[in-house]
Amino acid sequence: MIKKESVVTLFLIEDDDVDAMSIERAFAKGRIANPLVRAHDGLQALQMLRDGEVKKPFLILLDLQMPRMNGLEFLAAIRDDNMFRDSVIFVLTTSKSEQDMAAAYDNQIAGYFLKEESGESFLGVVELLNGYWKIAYLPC
Amino acid sequence: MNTKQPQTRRTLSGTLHWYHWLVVAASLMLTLGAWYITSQQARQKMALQFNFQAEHIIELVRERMRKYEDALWSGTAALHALPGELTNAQWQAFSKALSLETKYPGINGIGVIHYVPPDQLPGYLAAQRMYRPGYKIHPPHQIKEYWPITHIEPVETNRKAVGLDMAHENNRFSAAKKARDTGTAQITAPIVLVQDAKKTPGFLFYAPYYQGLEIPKTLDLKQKAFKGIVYAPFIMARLMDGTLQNENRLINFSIHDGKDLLYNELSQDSVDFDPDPLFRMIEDIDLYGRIWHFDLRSSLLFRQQNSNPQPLMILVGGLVIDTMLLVLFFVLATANKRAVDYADTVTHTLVERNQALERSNAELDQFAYVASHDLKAPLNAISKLAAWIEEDSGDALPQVCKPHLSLLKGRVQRMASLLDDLLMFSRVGRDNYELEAINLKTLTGDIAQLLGIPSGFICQAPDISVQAYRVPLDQVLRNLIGNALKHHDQASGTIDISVALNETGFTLSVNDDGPGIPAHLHEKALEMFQTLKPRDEVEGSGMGLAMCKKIVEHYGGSLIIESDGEQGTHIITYWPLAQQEVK
Repeated sequence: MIKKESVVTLFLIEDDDVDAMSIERAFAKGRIANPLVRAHDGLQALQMLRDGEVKKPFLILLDLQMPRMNGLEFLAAIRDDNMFRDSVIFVLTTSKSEQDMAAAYDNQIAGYFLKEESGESFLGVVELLNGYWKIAYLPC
Repeated sequence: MNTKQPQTRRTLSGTLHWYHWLVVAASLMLTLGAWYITSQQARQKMALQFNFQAEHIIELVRERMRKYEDALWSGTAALHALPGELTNAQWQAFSKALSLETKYPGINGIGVIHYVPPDQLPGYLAAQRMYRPGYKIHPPHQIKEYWPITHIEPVETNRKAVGLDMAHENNRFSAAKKARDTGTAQITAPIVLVQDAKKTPGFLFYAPYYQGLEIPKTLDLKQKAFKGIVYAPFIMARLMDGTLQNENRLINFSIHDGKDLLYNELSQDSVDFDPDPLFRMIEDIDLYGRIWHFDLRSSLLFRQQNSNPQPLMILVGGLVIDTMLLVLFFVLATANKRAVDYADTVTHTLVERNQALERSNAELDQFAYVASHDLKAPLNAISKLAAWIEEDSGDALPQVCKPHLSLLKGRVQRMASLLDDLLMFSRVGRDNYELEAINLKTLTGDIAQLLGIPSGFICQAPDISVQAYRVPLDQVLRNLIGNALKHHDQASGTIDISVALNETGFTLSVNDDGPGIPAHLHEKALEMFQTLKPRDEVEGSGMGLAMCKKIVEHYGGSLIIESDGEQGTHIITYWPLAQQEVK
């Protein structure tokens, strides 16, 4: 089940293009070669997962405020899904709401980051992810 | 109107509870009970009074009859005392001595009846005719003996009776014989006196006298020794007038002897006759050989004198009180219902207002959220894009554009802090905190470090602890110290924090030696989004003081500015000890 050697894909679920671009720029700046797949909202993300557009192993970086299906709804849906309930998910959001935070951790997220505290162009988050998947074993 | 009426009534009676009705019912029962008992008592008292009066009447009659009897017996005694045959003059003298008119009112006269056997008749008549030539015995009859009335006084009113033979008529004769045979006083059954022109009922009263002083023991001896009778005729009406004179007529009555009516007051003609008497008594009285049947009834006068208004007053008074009680209950219950209705209305209104308030608070929350996320997100994007332009263009960007880019970033920064302050302002009082002891020196030190006090400035506070909520106190102190630094016009200065504790709370002042705020601007300084200097000169959202005031007032305190606008500003905040949250 565990495959350490494979390259980890970052599945970014984010409606804001600038924020998505920030991540891309951070990848480029840090010379990270891992594939980056993006969905614009929860519904699209679920569809892409089920269509097999995202190759395992992957990490999900999830925004909370999104149209159609927001981050919390996506979390509830994926934890209910037999195929993908074991996904490792980080939340990257502007919401400082404790309720949002508690609801997210209730759905077994691996970490909750605030966009404004994630450093210039999310460099901090990207560095963390880069370190994480270098040493962590992920479900596949 | 007609259809509404019953509904109103139902609502009214619906406002009364069972215990109201219970009290009214109990009170009504009490009233009726009191009325019943007092009326029973009054009736008993009246019955006693009536019985007493009735017995009194009967006793009066008896007593009067005894008196007459005495008079008759004194007549027999007088006859015995006389030496020879009785003469009319002697009898006249005797009757005068009795003074009938005054001592025996009601008596019609007093007379002597002689028993005359047939063989003695001529001698008797001869003796009488010696001084009364016309004397004769009348009327004729079949019986072979004579019982004539020899003397009667006063003779003027009794002239028709002179010579009247008792044997001619059964009532007179049988009573006379009975008197002879028993040796006792007797009265006759009702008769009409010959001397009574009105032909009203009357009777005769007999007392027998015999040969010798003693009344013979046996019947035989009595009949042999019998000499005659002393008698008195009575007209019943006169007798009763005499008996009952000066009596209050509380009672009307009638007397029957057998079937014959002797005396009757029980008719509409009688004084104070009551056709529906309150009381009635029937009594048979044995009087000298006759049974007199008394029928006594209470009169109108009795009704008048004995009618006791007390039970009626109790009943009426009680009913009035009961009615008033009921009305009072109605009024109270209605008033109570109105009050409850009003309270319901007010409560309803309050609930609605509260809901509206909650809605508006929720909307404010939503607004804060929008401010923090929806407004900040594009702002962040702008900031990033500007940075990327700067990054990616490098030296390709014209020199003139570079300060524009940096101005752009500055404005973005200002807007971000405005949004942060706005969010914080709207969130004042939304969180609950615990009271704790806070050391002002430590707190001030922490704030100074966080704000990064420029060199040359001193920020000092006394080493005193106060009981307060940490977060609000920290917010206020941080804003005030920040303001003092931000608005200072010199390169160096002192910010002095002082505190004064008293029983009701503590006063915390932030004093600086800056330029001060002119008095006419104090009010403006406390308004939202108001800055006293251009934002490019002193960076600020204009919300600091307004938020401090809002926070302090939320905890029941106050904030005032003291400054002459020339040297230094004192911002004085008062925090009540309880620091009760005021919603």
